Amino acid sequence: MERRTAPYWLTGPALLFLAAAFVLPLILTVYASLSQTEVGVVEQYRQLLTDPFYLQMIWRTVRFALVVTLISIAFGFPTAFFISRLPGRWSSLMLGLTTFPLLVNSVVRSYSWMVVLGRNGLLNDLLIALGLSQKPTMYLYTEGAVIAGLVQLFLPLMILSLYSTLSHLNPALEEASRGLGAGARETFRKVTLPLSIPGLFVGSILVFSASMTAYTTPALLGGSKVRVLATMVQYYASVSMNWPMATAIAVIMFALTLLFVLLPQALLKHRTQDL
Amino acid sequence: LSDSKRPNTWLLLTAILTFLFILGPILLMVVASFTPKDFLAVPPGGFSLKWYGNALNQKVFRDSFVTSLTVAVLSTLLSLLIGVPAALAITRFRFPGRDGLLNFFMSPIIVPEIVVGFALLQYLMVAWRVDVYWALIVGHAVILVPYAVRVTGASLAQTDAAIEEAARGLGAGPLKTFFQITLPVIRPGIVAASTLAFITSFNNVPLSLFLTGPGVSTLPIQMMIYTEYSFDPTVAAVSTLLLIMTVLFAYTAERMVGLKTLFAR
Repeated sequence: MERRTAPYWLTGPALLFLAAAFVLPLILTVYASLSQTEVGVVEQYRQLLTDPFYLQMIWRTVRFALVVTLISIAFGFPTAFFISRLPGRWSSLMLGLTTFPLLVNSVVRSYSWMVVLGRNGLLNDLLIALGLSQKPTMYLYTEGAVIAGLVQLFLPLMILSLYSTLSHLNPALEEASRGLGAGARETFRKVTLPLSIPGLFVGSILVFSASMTAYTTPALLGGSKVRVLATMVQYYASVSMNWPMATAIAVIMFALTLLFVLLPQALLKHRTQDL
Repeated sequence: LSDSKRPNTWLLLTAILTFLFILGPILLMVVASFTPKDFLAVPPGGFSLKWYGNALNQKVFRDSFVTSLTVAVLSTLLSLLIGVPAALAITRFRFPGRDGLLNFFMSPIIVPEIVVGFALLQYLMVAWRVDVYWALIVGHAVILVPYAVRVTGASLAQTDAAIEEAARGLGAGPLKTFFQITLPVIRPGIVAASTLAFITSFNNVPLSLFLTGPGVSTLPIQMMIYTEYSFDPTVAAVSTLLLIMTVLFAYTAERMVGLKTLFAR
């Protein structure tokens, strides 16, 4: 008798808590967005999805996420591969250095770019010293600044996901490939790379969704010049006090995240079931 | 003579570039925080602690630091209080709706935090008039529940339920079994979950952004506000102090549970 009811007693508090403090506010927010707008629901979303201003914002957010994911793969893969081939003590040290930034406040990490990209920053000093630039330029509040900040923030996630796959690869497989006459390049392309797809997949989803929903970095390094969906939600919610608009953007942002996170997972599940 | 023995210089260079990119700006910021000039200068052109003095003299930074600490501790406790029993039910029992419940407990992860924050501002704070402090604690606990359930769940899954059954068989009640057998066994999982939850709450921006009120705000939010009206290196000084805290925290976490396990998936 007790074994039958125990699970419900144990999960009840968490269930009720999330229902009241998470699900209900979200549902009410979406419901309000669908019922209270003066212009009408369809009109509100139609405006948002046809106005070039908002479309550009949506495209910019997705584009940033895409670029950040690609750069993270380009640098994360070789780095993770390198770490996985190091002797134990060195690989632990490098993993520590990869993990540590994840504990550092995102405000601190994004703010640190001001030292590099600001008008008195290192990049300007360097370019002027090299004669590549005549007078200081502001590199902050540009698309490049936001992308650099996001890559710094999320690259460790990519390295860690790839490392966990690469370090579990059976070295015998690569040795076998080499032993059968394949070169280092061919072994990498035909053995190592295909076997690391799961880590690549997990890392890409993590980095992509984190970049799409990031607020701190675009707020600090993009400011009002480079707005993305997350900073737009904050702008309409707290600055211009247009809550229906903030909600509409929030709903679109949530829908996009679901699309980009759940769809690939569903596709992968489907494919692995086929195999 | 096989080239697999040759250290791959190209790989090494990429790894060095990667770490320069991840850690370089942070190290430069630490250097710049000691500048006597009134902007972030590298090289700093001298050594001064005046921006540290300025940072510690700001009442908003001191108050918001205390708020951040309090909220992090209380929201961590709240998430564990409801998350550990939930993890116990999910790992130790088979019951209808189990998979659905697990997905439900993980669901705060897939909703963008800025969206959660905005929804909580509208309902928790404006419509339901929850006190700001409580709104912060409850809001943070919402996003910590998935960590609490997942990390302690993983720890529970690794331990043998037979020892609990043995305790029950020897006459111990369910509560006694939990506190004297289960809890000591999953202690590393609890420590890992609290570490992750604490740092996640302490560093949070997108929720805290909306859950502020007169005189109540968290440190990361105050730092962001400060950069909006001043370019002086005060925030670099605050950041360096936070960085020292984070190093000590990471060292303790490494000693107690191993940093790697915190972010392992």
